[in-house]
Amino acid sequence: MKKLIILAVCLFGLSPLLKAQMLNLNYQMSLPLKQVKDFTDKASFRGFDLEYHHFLGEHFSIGASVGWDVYYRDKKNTTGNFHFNGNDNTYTITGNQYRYINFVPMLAVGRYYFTDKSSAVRPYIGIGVGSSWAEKRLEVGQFSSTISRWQFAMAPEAGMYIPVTDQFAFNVGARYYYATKAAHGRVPEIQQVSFNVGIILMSLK
Amino acid sequence: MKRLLILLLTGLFAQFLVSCYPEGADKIQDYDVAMTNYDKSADFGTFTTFSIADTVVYFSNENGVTLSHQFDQQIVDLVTANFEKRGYVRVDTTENPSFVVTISAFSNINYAYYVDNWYNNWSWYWGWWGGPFNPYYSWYPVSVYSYRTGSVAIDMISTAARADGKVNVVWTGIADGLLQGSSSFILNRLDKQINQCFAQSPYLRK
Repeated sequence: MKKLIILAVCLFGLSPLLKAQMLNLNYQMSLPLKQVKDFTDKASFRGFDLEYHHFLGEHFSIGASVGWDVYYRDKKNTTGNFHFNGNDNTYTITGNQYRYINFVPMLAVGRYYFTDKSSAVRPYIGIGVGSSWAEKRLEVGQFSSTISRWQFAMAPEAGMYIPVTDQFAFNVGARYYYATKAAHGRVPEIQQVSFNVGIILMSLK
Repeated sequence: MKRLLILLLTGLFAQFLVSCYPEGADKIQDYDVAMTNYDKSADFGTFTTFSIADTVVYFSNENGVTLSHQFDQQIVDLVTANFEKRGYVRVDTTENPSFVVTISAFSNINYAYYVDNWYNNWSWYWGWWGGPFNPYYSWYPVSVYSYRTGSVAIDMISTAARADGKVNVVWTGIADGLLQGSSSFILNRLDKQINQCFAQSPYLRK
């Protein structure tokens, strides 16, 4: 994660050199669906997303996006069945359960912009395809189980950005993420709807 | 100047992310668990009588630490009451009980993993009721590790012999937690977890 932040800082530092490009840093909140919802239930308010886009003409851009979402749930006193490494027995354990999912999608993103670059508002639709790293963790008492895998991921999106100056803009967007299950389902299929709010540094010349 | 501002913002953002990462267990009692395992082929309705050792056997990996037996009676009484509530009758060891109950307490510091046979020094303990079996468990008990932890294990052992000659453990309940705080605090938590072991084992009744 540290590397990612260093990378972000470097990229932002380079921003005045960019031509027909933009950098976008968003705060991200996500609503879990299906298997993620079953495991952690609650929405994630811990997330961010860093994006780079390169314009191809007035209406298209290609780019990349890296995000990070943390899901967490304190299940309080809960009974569940568990296996331990090294034997086949099923143990019934009652205790405070803490559940986490970390989701880090890394996507190549293509976008279409409905209006030209002189518009006051630039709505867009796009799609991201790539891979994601997901980690699922459960703690009960002094025991814990962690599993992480890479997944195939994709994310259609819609949003808009609002230029303030010709170098600065605000971004608002929503994305639906889908990432395939891994490790025979021990890492869940991830489906979530994410909402982004953030700032854009750009050069459209 | 603008670049500096952006650097600052990015730094603040990173700080914010790190500071709000969820914490998990906080209080000592958040680590308490009750865990049970049982022989899925056992028919608990066929058991009728039991006997129970009147002391708790302690296992510790700390050399030179003597453990107090002052709470033995309270723990034994609680376990006895729970088995009686399930319809089993306590009898003397000489009256051929259909199962025996043993209670052991473990205190550990920094055990990384504990899947090997626990009961290497077990045979001396069997003297009290003269069981016919080799001192082997039919399954490996759970690993216990890190911090100063304490576990109390309740074993329900059928007096019927197993074909493989192992100890015929049909049910195990373990109250596991951190050994922190006052004696009464620990004992309170222990009582709660022992009762929970029985509560989560509805099959365990005559």
